[in-house]
Amino acid sequence: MLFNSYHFFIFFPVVVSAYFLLPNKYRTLWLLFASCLFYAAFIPAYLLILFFLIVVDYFSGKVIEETEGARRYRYLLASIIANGGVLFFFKYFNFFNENVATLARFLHWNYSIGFLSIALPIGLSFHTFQSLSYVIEVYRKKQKAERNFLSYALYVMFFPQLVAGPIERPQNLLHQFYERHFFEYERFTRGLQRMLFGFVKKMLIADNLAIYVNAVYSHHSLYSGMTLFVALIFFAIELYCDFSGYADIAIGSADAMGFRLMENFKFPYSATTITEFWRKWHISLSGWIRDYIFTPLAFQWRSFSKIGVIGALLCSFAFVGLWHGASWNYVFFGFLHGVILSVEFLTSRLRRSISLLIPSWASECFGRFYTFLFWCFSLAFFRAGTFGEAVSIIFRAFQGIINLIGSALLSIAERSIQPILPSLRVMEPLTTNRGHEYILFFSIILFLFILIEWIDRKWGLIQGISKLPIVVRWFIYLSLILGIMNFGVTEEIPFIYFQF
Amino acid sequence: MKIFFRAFFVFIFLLLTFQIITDSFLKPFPRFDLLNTYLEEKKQIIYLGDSVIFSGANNDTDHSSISEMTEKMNNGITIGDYSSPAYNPILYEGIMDYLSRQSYKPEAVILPVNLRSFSPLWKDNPMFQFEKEKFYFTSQIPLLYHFYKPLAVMRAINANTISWDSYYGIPVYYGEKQVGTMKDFDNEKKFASSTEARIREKYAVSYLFNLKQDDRSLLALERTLDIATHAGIKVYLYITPLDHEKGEDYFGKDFTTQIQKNAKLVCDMVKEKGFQCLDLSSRLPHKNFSTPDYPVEHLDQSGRTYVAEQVTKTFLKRR
Repeated sequence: MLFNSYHFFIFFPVVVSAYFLLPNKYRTLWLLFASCLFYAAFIPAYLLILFFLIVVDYFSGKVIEETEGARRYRYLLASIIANGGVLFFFKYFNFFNENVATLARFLHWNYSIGFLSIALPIGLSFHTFQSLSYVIEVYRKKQKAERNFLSYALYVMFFPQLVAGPIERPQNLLHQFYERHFFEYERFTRGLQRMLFGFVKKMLIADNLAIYVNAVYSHHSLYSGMTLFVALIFFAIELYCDFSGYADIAIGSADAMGFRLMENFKFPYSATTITEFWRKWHISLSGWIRDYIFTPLAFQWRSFSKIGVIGALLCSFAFVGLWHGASWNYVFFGFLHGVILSVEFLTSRLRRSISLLIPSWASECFGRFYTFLFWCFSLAFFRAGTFGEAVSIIFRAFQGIINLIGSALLSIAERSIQPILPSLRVMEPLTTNRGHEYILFFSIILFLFILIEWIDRKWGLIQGISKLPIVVRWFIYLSLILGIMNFGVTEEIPFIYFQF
Repeated sequence: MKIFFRAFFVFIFLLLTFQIITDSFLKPFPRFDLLNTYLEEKKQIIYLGDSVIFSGANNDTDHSSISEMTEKMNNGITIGDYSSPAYNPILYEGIMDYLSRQSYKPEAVILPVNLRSFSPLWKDNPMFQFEKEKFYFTSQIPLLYHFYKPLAVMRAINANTISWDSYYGIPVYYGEKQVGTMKDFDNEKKFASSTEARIREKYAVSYLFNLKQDDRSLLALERTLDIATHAGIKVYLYITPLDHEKGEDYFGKDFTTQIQKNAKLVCDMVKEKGFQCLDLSSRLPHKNFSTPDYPVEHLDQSGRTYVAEQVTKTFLKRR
């Protein structure tokens, strides 16, 4: 079920109302039933995959807790193989097969294993990782094995974060299913407010930008370098609003029922380095990778000193890339970030000394500019269909900027605005269908994005609004809802991270 | 909980009220008001149609539309022009449905049918589906039309019956032979080009398909006639002239043969429903068409006069 569909607007009030009306002992069962319904709205048969993972990890947790030594490790390995196997079968088999077939062709081998034509279960990477974190935490003795099967099943299936995170840790979520939640007006409305801002980010900002980005990416050869550059920036904002919008809706809907989910974003576009960026972007995934991949690898390779850390960084980020999708594009995207993180790691002392020589605002500005620009360009590998397409888009967008700088210099030299005008021309794709007003429309959308981020960073969006008089508050809510209702898009644009 | 529900209901009431105000202010479909004005003014005839009705040539001395010319030729008959670019039979069904439910019904509707509107370039083009217009015309709950956009945004109604991807995948035929998909014929690069080869291609994709009885536009036209019959509204249907001479330059006599075959299928259906059908598809020479590089059937002054005269002679003088 999509959050941004009328189904959810019927589903959510019914689930929440029944949740508070039911006696406490039935609430877990009710939420589990609601979560099954939520997931079954996509492909009902895939509930079986979830059920399989839940059963495997529930029993793995129990036996891991009850055993010691090598057997304990073997049970952990069995669970990892079961989870990884499901993930590999549904997500990576075709990718693997394709690469083996290419290699076989190259080596003139006879290889004839066919491709699977199955749809990827929605959010598989999210709930597999959440399930794995439980087993690993039990193995590390940081979490007691869950005895109640229903509570464990709900930990994996809790509908707000089932399909696109945050990837929760058992220590944060599991115990909350035993807490008794009462209806609290303040908390409930706070949850709804958070959901509203999530819907604004997704339905008003991300979806409108998606129409532009999708059109440019699907016929990129038709567009100028400047248009491609704008599409690169739009995609970065679209991705953030899409994903953080989802997180806001998830956290808000859980909060309305009394559950606290972890934050997944902390203003990533204010980061001044890529290292800082990954501490603010998709925090639940980067934390998972840090705890279960990077730290063990860096520890394992500690004897190699800095080389060991860099090796762990590159491996971890290649894994981050692969987590996103089964293609070399994603692997390269992750690896590229690993390389930049390594460079930042090696030059940290040098950068610190340089920053002492220039005013802090200048170094901050430069840092933000570099981080955002690198992120925008690297996302071409994330968004484009093929590696070649991504390279071509980056190259031509870069050419667009060079042209712009050249014509700007010419304009200055000639003291005329004419030379710069052709380089500034950004084409409107046919499908955006906004006519001559499209520049104004997208400017308003971008302004709204910057405004929301700025207020949130400065005062905290919800806290800030809560302090306003009721008339102003309601005016803001009504304006935002009316904005979504009248300027949202009518095309179905699923959350980008659903595919992972 | 009681406080919450009280606030919630007040909020929902305000939201609905403001949505009606916002929608009225934004006027997402101003032409809806135009049709209502015609009904209030008790126009005897509503003239539907696409851009052919009002487009002309640069050297025209009289820029009147076909509907205005028709009104001038028929003193005493009041005609409301409800033509708009790309309007097509699928939308006509909605308009007729709306007219049939009004307390004042026009005496007749003039229905120009453009053969190109059956081509995938038009019929299946996502930009020409007019879902919003159809919703306005067919929603029977008072004020519901103010909620078209919110309902579409929430996917409670499908505002994109044809996606761009599916449009680009639609097969294109010359007669019975498939020659590619819409992606080969209607992409943004080709759209701007007007070389001879490109114009030939446009003529082919616009007219050389083999119209079938189960074509969804044709079925919509059939339903439009049924609604009119039930409502007691007369329908004066004619087939818009097109530049068959230019088509013949590219494809020989086969072009006109295919055009006439398609026109006959439409007219046979119309006659079967008990209405008269005027086929003007190959009546006008090349010189009457104002856009040489694109098959849009726009006529110069004498071409428009000819159509108005034919409509008058065939339908209005005999009514």
